[in-house]
Amino acid sequence: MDNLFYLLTTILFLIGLWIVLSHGNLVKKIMGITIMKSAVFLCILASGFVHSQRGIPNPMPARIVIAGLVVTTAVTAVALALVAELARYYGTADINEITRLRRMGQ
Amino acid sequence: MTASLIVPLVVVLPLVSALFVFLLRKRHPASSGVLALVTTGVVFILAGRLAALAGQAEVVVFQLEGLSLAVDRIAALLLLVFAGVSFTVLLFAQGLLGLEIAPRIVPRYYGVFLVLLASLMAVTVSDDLFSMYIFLEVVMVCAAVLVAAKGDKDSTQAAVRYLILNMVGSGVLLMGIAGLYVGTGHLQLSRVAEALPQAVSSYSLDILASIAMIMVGTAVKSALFPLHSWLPDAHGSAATPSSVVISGLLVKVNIVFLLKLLTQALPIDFAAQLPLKPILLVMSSAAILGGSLLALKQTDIKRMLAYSTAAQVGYIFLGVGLMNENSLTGSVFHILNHAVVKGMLVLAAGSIMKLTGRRRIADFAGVGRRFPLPMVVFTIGALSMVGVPPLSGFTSKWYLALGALAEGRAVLVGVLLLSSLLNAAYYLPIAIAAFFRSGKDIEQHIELTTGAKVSMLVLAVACVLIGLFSNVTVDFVQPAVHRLFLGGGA
Repeated sequence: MDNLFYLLTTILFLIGLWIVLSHGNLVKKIMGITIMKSAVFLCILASGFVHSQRGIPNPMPARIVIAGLVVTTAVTAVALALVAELARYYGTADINEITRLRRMGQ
Repeated sequence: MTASLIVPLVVVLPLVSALFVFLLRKRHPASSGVLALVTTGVVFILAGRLAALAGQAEVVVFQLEGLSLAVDRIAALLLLVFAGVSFTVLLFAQGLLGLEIAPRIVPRYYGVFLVLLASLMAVTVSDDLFSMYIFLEVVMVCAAVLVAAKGDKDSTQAAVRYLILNMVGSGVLLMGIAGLYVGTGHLQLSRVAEALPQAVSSYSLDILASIAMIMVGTAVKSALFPLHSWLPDAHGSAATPSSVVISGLLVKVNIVFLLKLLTQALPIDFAAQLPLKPILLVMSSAAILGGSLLALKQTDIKRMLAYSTAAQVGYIFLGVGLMNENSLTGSVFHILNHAVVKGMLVLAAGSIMKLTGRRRIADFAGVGRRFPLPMVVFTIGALSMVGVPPLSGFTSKWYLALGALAEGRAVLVGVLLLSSLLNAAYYLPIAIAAFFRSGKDIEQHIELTTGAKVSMLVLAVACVLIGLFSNVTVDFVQPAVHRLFLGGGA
């Protein structure tokens, strides 16, 4: 049962990585990265329950996860803003399309 | 061991100053640059004081409730490097930044720069894996903003590429940190080191996988050779001060993270059991040679400097991979040396690009006669990169070579020599052509500010002095490195 948490979060992490690798759209890539990081945070949170004593979960994981979520949100916001800027220049957020347009421009 | 309030101050001061820059940016836009410069100068002096304290007492600590910060001699030296390079970059930027990015966003650029400096300091002084991760994220996002500040197509594309690749890298890194946390139950480096032997006996595969993930994540973020693809774009299209930040500070801080993890969280006898050494040595040799060969092919000066950075990252990883006293001393020394020298080269190349409007290497013929100062600085930097004895580049290569010989790996000395030759092959022709060939129609587009001239000269003098008095730095660092190998931890 304990290992089930870790197995599921690992699968979620790999789904995120798969999205990053398989999609050309930058917004989808960022979604994939967010899924990856959420999986890690779930894993850390789960560890607080798995190693809990007398049924009281360890509060330490929840504290670090909150800090992690804040910084992840900020990074994601900046990344999305930059992608929006890029899409304004090229009219698309697809990295393959942008690479093609850049090569034509040279 | 001694306690000092300066330890948190080097982090808090730039943050507070950044707050003021953001508050005052509308009413006093001109004051932001001066404020940033003065703050960085004060931080540099504080870091110097910390280095003096660390010289006396080995470790300077600060403890408050749950927060604990520690600065040993290596960390003190890194703080000095980060603050010193930031100071010269800001001095260079004073008058010239407005020419490269829209004047409207210049105050915000300084604000973001100060936040970046604060996070660099925080990564160096903190001894907790998760706080280091958080500050690495802040460094990453600030650097992306600095790259994108130019606001044209190329720099936006480079910033997106940089940010996406590094976000994936930091996701993998975070998974590794989470693995170590779940396995050992601790995040503080020294506690992880205590709990690790027991954790390894029960979940050896999980711990191995976590360390592997941390290595991969750090390798992406510090642009180790096959994973360096974001570096040339970001370095080549960003404004000159941002380029220095990328290759002098940003790449380094991730290596600092790895160095702290390997030396403080993994007991040295445990690290020796891992297959880290062959992997790191192969990857770093590939980085040294591959980076140099790719640099040789470049036609754009800033992209060439970026590939050269990829090669220099290989040197630092080589020292980390060899894991003995001489090689680690060489690594730490090379972090200092490369930050100073690459700062010189990028500032000199950037000022020539601004002065003449040229950025192709072939167009640099004759610029040395017209604009001697930047080109002389560039040449000193180039000679230091090649490793000519009195300059600083020689010392780091010397200690890396000593470390390689102590392990009985003479092949690596060959790699170092070959890379010196390659460095000479791509740096020296630029300097020779700039001084001894005549160029046509070299126009002068702008005037260099006094600050820019002074900052280049300061770095050049620092490069020569660090090389001449390299024993001062080495004697300062060596006891700390020695302590790591005694197994005492930090």
